Amino acid sequence: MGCYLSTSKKVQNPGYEEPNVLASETPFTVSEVEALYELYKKLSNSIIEDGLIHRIFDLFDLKRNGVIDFGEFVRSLGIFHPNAALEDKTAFAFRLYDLRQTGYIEQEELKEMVLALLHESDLMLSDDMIEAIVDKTFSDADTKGDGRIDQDEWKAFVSKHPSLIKNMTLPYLKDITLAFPSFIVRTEVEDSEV
Amino acid sequence: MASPQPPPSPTLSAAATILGKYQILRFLGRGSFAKVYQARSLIDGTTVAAKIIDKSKTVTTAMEPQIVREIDAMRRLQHHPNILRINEVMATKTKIYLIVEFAEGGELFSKIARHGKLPEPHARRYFQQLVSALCYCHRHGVAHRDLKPQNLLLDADGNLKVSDFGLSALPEQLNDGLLRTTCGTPAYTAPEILARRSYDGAKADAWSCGLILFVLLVGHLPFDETNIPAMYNTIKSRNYVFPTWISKPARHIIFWLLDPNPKRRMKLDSLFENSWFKKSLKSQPESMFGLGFNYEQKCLASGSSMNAFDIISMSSGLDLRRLFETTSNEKRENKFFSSKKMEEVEAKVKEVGEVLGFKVEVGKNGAILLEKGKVGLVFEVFEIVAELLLVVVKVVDGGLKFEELHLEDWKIGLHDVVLSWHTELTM
Repeated sequence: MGCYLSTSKKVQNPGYEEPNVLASETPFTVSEVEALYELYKKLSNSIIEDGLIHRIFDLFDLKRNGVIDFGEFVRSLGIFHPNAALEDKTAFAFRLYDLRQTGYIEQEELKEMVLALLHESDLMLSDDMIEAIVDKTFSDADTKGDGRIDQDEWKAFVSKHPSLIKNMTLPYLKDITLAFPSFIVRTEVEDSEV
Repeated sequence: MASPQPPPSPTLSAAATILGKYQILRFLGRGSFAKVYQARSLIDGTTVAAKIIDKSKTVTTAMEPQIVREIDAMRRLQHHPNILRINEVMATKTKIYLIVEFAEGGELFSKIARHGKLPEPHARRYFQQLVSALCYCHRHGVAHRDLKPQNLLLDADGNLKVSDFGLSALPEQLNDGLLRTTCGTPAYTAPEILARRSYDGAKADAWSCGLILFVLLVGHLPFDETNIPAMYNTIKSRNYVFPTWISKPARHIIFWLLDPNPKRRMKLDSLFENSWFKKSLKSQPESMFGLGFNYEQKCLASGSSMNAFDIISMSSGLDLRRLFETTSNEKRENKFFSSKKMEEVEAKVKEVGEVLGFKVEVGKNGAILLEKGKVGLVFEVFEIVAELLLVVVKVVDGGLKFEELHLEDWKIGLHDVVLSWHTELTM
């Protein structure tokens, strides 16, 4: 896969964080946080395959210590909640595509990502054609014409093309308690909090 | 509080909320396994029903895994218009909260209790909705097993909503009027269950449907005995009387459904061939391009152009949905690139669709819709740059069948216009 991919990352050490605290800081309810813990435990036991998904998990690792703890997992998934703010989603997508974390999406980075996707499709396109794809997008998005997309340009581009942050919303998160209902057995929520 | 009807709840305090998300408004009643309240979401103001299960009283520890399985079953049945939707589950150490759709019209049978029997066309409409919901469940491997009047609710528009799917394993607490016979046996229960034989859930549901149709048309139960053996004998000997106003075809259906022998009993899905049943039957929810058409609306209209970021976001690696899809391995989307002209690709898709026996339509946003049997497909074509198109093929329904039966045919048919197929990684 593309060279920007980080080394293999595991979700590990399912350290628990107070669900009430996480619920107060994210769009999730305390029950949803507990359901996410079931998902988190499930993921901890599986090694996530190589692929672009590491790029996302890299960004989940807020403390940058190579491990995604439960708090980071919930706070990051909160951005993907249908009720989360669009600005947060837009900003997350920017960080996702800013591969080298320079604060800009550069033409070279975009090309790398397009190549990785085409590689997934086993599609060999001529270099000219790939350049044409990237150039066309840059001519739209890079309004200042300095060869890179900054955060403001990105916001403007996303508001013109809302489909770009479609991946930043997971409708499934609204159903998380139905998808992992076993939390009802293990819940630690006291009734006094009701 | 201007609701004189429901009795006040024993525990309801004025400002009670459920985990800070729902405000409890009023006590609705006691379901078969839970207390039910009307509640309002503090987030978006929607009205819901909250079923509250007291863990300590109602549910033994051994039953909790059972409830977990049942919730899973209910989740799989969410997409039928006549099945009460479950929105979410919440829990504390002592309580489980099932947050479900609020059925504004209340119980169907309180209508009968108030106004007596229904005219045949009305009864038929509820019966059609009931059978449609049950057939949908049976196709998804879930039987209700516990159909009874308080599980038949009405929404604001008077449509039937069947509730409590799969919750039949939970304990019974109730004892009231129409719901039970004098001897206390569940009146709607099939004889093979009464006899404690092992039974087929779908057949037992068919029996209950026969009983419900009888009550809708007649206004009371066909059997009502004071003890179980007497009840059993009455059922076995089909000792019930049709009032004169019941039409012949309706009698036949009831007679076939109330066959005490589950092997001979009429199957619910065969009703769709019955002319009495089919009369003024509304378009089936199974029809993919009608009500049941629930594919995600893309922001991009088919035929529009796609930029480099759109291409990247197709990567399955950026699609976190894979983390949540716990049950199905079905691939819902196939994509291919093409270097032909848009019109040429669209014409080819239609041509291949017709050759393969699909019904072809063009949708509002330019997408090509195809339908054959239980399989529904949507083709959307996007331009990336001149001479490079991306075609997204969505499988709307019958995903597995599509993979098995049709994908290879499509690949062969479209060969001339395809540059390459996009293969998705699965987790």
